[in-house]
Amino acid sequence: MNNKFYCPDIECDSCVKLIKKTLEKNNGINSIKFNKDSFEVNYNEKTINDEKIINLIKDKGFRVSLEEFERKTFKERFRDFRENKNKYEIEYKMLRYSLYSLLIIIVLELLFFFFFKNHLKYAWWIFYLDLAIISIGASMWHIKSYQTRITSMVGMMIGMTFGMQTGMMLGTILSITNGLFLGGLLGMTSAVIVGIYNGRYSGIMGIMEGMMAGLMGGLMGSMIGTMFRIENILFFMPFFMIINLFIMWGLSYMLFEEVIEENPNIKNNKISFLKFFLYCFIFILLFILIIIYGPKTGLAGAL
Amino acid sequence: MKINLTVKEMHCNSCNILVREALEEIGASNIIIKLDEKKQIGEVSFEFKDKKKAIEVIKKEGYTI
Repeated sequence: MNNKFYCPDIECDSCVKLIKKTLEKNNGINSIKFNKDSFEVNYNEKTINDEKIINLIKDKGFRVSLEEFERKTFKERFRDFRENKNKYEIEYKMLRYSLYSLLIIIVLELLFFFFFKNHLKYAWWIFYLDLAIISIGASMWHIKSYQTRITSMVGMMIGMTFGMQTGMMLGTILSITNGLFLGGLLGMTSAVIVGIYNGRYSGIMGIMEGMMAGLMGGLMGSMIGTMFRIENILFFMPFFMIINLFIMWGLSYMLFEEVIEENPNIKNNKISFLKFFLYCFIFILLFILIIIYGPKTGLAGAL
Repeated sequence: MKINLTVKEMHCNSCNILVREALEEIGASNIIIKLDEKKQIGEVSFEFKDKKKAIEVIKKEGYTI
């Protein structure tokens, strides 16, 4: 009897070897043929059956099934997300943590503006800065909360999204407040660093993607920021930020779909709220100081 | 006899299981494998009487020491 087993976790020669070895130890296996994401087994149904083969492979830490691994539709996923709160524990925590951090930081900033009323003109931009840094921080927290293998494909997406989004958001905000020079410089460097940091989960491929996307996002964002007239950008910014935030949520969604769902190898890395909050706080403070006291070039001086 | 080996080219969980099984088959005990996925190195420690034999079976799986 010939049967096809779907196994999306086959990554390298060692995986192939391990599956082969595991199956060949049993009687009744005639031949095994490996494809990408699946393998075909010819076996004698008198001595061994599908279920046994699946259990043998599952024991070694692979996802395996007779049917192709189906992705949930958005609607199904959303329902699952609301109904199975235990399964999405870390994701709920991520949302909670980022909301709490945002609230605490906004309260602190309101206090700050209460005492330094002359800086009130920066309030909108500092609010967008909060959104940017907390959303990037939350996604980084999400990835770091899990410990598992990440394939090159997903790793490249992760590096690229982080580089691009960091550059776009920080570059735009900083170039509005401080001009193209500081916006471009800081947007680019911070985005490249964030891109490398998150791309490294899949080695050099992810790092390269992260660097290039950071370069592009940082420079593009800072150009957007400088080219707009100030009256127009106030209307442009909410749409821009909403799209950026959706992309960050999309990244977490993709991570769950491609890496976390039904993965037997996954380990949870507990990272506390305090650590998350402190990192967000330090970076927001740093950028606020740069926005207020950093050099201003071009039209940004008029703000 | 306690043996510590540094095995190169180990990069994933499958490698980990392959080495562990190879050692178990020859009767090694207390096998502990620490995998450094970035450096692709596994620190393997176990108890076995014949170091030469152990190295041989690990090499047979395709790894270098």
